[in-house]
Amino acid sequence: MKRSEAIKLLESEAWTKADAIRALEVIDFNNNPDELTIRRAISNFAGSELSHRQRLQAAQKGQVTKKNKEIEQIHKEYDVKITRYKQELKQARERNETELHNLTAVNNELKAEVRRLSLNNDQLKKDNISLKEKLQNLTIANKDLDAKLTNTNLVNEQLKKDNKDLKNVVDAIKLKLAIEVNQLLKYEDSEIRKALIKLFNSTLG
Amino acid sequence: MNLNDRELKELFELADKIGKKRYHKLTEQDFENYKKFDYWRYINGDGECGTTQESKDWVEKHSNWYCPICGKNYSATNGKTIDHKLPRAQYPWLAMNFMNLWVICQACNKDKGEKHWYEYEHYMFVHHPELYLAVKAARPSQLLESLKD
Repeated sequence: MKRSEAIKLLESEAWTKADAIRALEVIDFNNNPDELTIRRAISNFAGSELSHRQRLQAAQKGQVTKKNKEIEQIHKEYDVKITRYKQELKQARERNETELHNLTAVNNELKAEVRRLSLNNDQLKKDNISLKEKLQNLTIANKDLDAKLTNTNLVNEQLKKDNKDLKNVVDAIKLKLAIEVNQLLKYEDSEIRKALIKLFNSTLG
Repeated sequence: MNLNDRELKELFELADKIGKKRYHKLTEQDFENYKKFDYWRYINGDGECGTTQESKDWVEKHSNWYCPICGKNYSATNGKTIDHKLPRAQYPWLAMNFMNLWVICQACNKDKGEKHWYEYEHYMFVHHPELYLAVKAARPSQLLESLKD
């Protein structure tokens, strides 16, 4: 039997081509071996290969089990984390909702306040315009009063002086009369009459 | 106002009454002018706090040993006083006019009181004729003339 035929035979019995080639390496096909020789050779290979592969499989299974446990542990940790995160998220959402609710209420209040202030502002603007007009009128009136006051003060100053001046004029007349009479008393009786007439003439102009 | 049937004395009294209005009590400005003298003369404008150095110096410079009216030594008549020839209650705008101030003795100041100038001359002519000329010599003619401005 040739190598290719032997490989085909084994492939027909569900061997892989690679296994068949490795199992048939120990056989010298130059001697044209028969099927029995081939079967003996491959049963040796299959036995040791099988036990070798079972060991590998066992080792891999062990690793798989270990990995599975790790994965399971990770899953558990993640589950806890996810649960916690979900809880936190839920709380945060609730908080946000409350906050939003409050903010909405505040916002509504502020909007009302803005409306109220706006109305106030409009009123104040109107008042301001009205006050400006009043101020202008008062300023004009004030200037007018200032001018009048200045004038009154000037008149008052003048009247004060005039009053005192008149008082002094009257006093000066009294003084003059006293001096004149004093002079008269120095005359002889016969001369007093003449002097008196002279005095009255000067007094009455 | 009926001026008929009034005695000359009454007429003069009437003129006095009108002429003696105390201007420092009439307006704020008059009172302020009136008080200016106090602030110049007295510490803090209060007679009880003593007199300011500035006014003491002025008195020193404008007086000698004798009162210009009675001629007596100041020490014999209670010392020097600053008098307003034209009283500041009557002429508040002249309260700090130095032409209106002079130094006389306390007795003469008390005698002069708040009389207007010619009234004072008249009073001295009648009661102290021997001192009349001294008073006449001190007449503030320039200030009396300024009333006609």
